[in-house]
Amino acid sequence: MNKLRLLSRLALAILIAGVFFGVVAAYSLYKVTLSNEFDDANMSIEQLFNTVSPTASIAAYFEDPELAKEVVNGLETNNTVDKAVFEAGKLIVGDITLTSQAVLSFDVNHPFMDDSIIGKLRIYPDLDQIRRSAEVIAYANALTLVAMALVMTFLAITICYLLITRPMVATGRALHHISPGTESRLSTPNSHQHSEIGQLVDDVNHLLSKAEDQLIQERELRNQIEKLEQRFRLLFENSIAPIILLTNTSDIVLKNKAYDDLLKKLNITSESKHGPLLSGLFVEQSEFFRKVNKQLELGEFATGEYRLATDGELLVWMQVVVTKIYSDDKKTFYQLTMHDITKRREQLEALSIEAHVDKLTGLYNRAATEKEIIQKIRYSIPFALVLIDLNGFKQVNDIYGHEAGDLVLKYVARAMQEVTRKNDIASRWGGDEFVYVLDDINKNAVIRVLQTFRAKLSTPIKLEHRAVEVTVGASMGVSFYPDTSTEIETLIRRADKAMYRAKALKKIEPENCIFFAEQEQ
Amino acid sequence: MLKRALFLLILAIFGQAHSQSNEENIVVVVNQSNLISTISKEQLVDLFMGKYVAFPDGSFAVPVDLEEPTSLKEGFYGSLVGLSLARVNAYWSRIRFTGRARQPQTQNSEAGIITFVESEPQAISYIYESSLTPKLKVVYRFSE
Repeated sequence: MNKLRLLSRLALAILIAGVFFGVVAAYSLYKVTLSNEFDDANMSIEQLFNTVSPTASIAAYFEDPELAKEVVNGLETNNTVDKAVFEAGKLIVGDITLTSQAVLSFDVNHPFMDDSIIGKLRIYPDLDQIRRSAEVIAYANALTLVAMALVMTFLAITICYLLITRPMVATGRALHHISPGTESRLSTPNSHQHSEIGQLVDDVNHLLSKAEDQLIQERELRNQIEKLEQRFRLLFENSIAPIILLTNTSDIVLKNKAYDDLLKKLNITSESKHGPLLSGLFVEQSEFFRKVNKQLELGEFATGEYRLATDGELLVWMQVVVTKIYSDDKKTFYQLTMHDITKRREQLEALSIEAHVDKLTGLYNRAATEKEIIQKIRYSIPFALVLIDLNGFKQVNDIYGHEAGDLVLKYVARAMQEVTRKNDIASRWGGDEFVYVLDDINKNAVIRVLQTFRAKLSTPIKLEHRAVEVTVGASMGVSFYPDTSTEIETLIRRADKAMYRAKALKKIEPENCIFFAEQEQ
Repeated sequence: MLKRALFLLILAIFGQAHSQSNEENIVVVVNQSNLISTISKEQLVDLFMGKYVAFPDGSFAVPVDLEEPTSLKEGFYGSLVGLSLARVNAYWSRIRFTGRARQPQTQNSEAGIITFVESEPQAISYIYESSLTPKLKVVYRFSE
């Protein structure tokens, strides 16, 4: 198909050119031939006239019709002459009415006096005959030209086919069947090693080689990427930590199996939205969101421990790491990674309780209380520090033994706890010393709380195994933060001083058992 | 026809070469009694080449020629029409059949011409000037 198209186009172009030039050449040749024929005819007519001119002279001299007729007839027998008209004086031989532009007019001279013109001989060439013979010659010429044009066309087509079209079409077909990236190459057509076609084939082969190299490289790269991807997927899918990739509008782009498992475990359908940065998953939604955003403002990642919102009693704590990442096209994504820290947290909590709580009474121990006080001071939260020292405890211990002493301590602790409000801290300071950290900075309020406590304490304690009842009293010293001082040591010292002032009066004025720290001098 | 024309042409070329050899003047004469005193060359050509047989005044004319080719005859025709005698003969044989042209009468010698013209008032012929007689009148002179 291709071959035919290219070749036939070429053939048609050459044929048209050949025919066109053939026609033009034949036509010009015809014109030239015609003009030559006319010239030849004129020449031969001139010669004819020269031949008959002596006879014509005599005919004109004598005005002899017979002789004139002989001249005219003689001329007319020649095939280049159509008609001849002889004129001399009154004598006219031939058709005088003839008119033709192609007429040749000759003067007939006096036979004996050359400079005297005595007649006229008009000869009409046989135009048709001349044209016919010109046409015959032109036709033969045209035939030769056409034949030559045909032969040249055929030769041109054959040469073009052998030299250009065939190798081109063969190369084109071969190229059509080559798929880039394979080892197949074009072969250079015979005797075209140094021609443009050979160059073309070389260039195409060069391109094919390049394409193959590139494809091989690409394939290798793809393999590498696939392997890497497999490993990543392995890492990602088998991670026991839920990993989620979010857009900046908190749509989930990517999540792993661990995340789905987690949702299943929490009885949450994974389709539901979980709010910005999945905050809906956590108990303290707004706090989570606020903290994470605050940290992200400062750095690239935020981390924190948050409790998951579960429908039942199930307690799940997660360490959440939110990382802000930017893709290559400058889009913001958030990566959330969660680690289940429930167990660790439970252990820590247990440890913490052990470390902070007095084993006997269940109240805060001294260290934990001091930590709380330091915390409050750091956040400038006002409070009242109350140091409580039991009166009469030593005697109970000495008389009834440690068990009785312990019983008394437990009893005091319970009394303290009964009085404490939400944010109050009751703690055992050591021995028979207790401490209240109250939320009040108002003396009267403090007094009210402490009086209630003292009232409870005044109830006799029943020592069941001894079947006796004992009663203990308490001396209390109060200091205020920040009014008394802003330092923990000073607060404790001042409260201690106040407490000793109360203690000094325990025998004389047992009612006056609450003393406030005085201002520093 | 063509061959004949070619023959005439060849004759004309050859004849030209032989015609220049007259040392003596040739004159055209008529009888002393003839009324004309002069004649033109054209009229002379017409009379001797057979076109007319009349003098310019309309009177009948008898042109007389020499029978034999002599230097006088050769000189006459050479001067008159520039032709050799052979060509003049050819001319006559060429036109005789038309019946239109009349060839001049002939005399055997110059003397015969002189005698004929002296006795014939209508006659016209040619002689050497040296041969002139009182009974003859010169009507044309070939000026060399």
